[in-house]
Amino acid sequence: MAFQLPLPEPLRRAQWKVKIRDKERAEPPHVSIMHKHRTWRFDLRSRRFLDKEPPPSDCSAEVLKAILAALPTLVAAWDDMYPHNPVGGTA
Amino acid sequence: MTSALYALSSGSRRVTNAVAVKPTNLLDCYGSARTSVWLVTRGAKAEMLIQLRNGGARHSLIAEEALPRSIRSLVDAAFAVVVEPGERTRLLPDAELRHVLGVEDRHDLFVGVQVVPEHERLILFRGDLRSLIVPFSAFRGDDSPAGHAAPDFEDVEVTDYGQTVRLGRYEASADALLYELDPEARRRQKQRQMQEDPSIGGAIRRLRTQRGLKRSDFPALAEKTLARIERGEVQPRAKTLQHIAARLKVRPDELASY
Repeated sequence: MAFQLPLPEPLRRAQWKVKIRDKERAEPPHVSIMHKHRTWRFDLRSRRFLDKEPPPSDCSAEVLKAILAALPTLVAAWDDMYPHNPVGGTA
Repeated sequence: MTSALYALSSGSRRVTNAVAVKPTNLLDCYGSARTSVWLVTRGAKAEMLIQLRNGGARHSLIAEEALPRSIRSLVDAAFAVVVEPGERTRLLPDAELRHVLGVEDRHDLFVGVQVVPEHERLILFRGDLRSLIVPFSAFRGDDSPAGHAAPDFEDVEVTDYGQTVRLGRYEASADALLYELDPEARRRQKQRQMQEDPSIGGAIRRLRTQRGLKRSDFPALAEKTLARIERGEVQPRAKTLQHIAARLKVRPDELASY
């Protein structure tokens, strides 16, 4: 089952989602920040955005704040779902 | 946007970034040299499409509701691809569908899915209405963690504005499916990345993890050897590359594209 990070109501109403799905691109470990048709991948090892597009500057600062506050939970969720490629594993 | 978007809408509904099709401009839109996607919204007068004739190889059509049976064979003849909801075909919710069809990179988003259980396949329809055939096996990992949701092929839909394929409680990202199955999409994804290890070792590591395999899952290769290859410390010999590629279910010449 996909892991979805609970977000504050205003962000949910604005259609922001943060997910780790059962099938993602597995390397590197990341969370998917979704807003309508756009997704930003946020690297759980480096704590940086993985892609140039969509521009990281377009991602909600509030969503990023929620992710950083919940990092241990997100790392645990990723490791649980992808035990063959844990966040703490050697890249 | 590489292809045009035309919309037959009912009432005052407008579709963003679409040319509104009416009886007065129908033939001009159809005669355009550009490849195009046509959207028939719920309640629209689809019967006007019977005016179309030949030469529709450039055009594909998606309808928010099943087309009238009386015109279906003519629509099939006029368009290269026709997608409509049905017993085995589910589309995005109307509002999400209209949004996705209007975006620049709709070709990397999914607008619908058809299940073919007899052959254990899904047909995923992309935003430009090209198909991606995905075997059920693409959703099952050899080592899915115990207690985790298994994909339910009797409850399938596309969600999240075309970015997720939901199979019961199991979810797969469109990104991951395109990465595994479409070399062109994979190339576009790699171009968008900030930085990536471009070596063959990096590619092997990415594909190994994408397949859900551990380094110990390569019987003819020591774990330490594979680790050194992935880190770029040694270059694999041709025979070793063949073994790795076979285990990863790709041709050796495809490895570097991952």
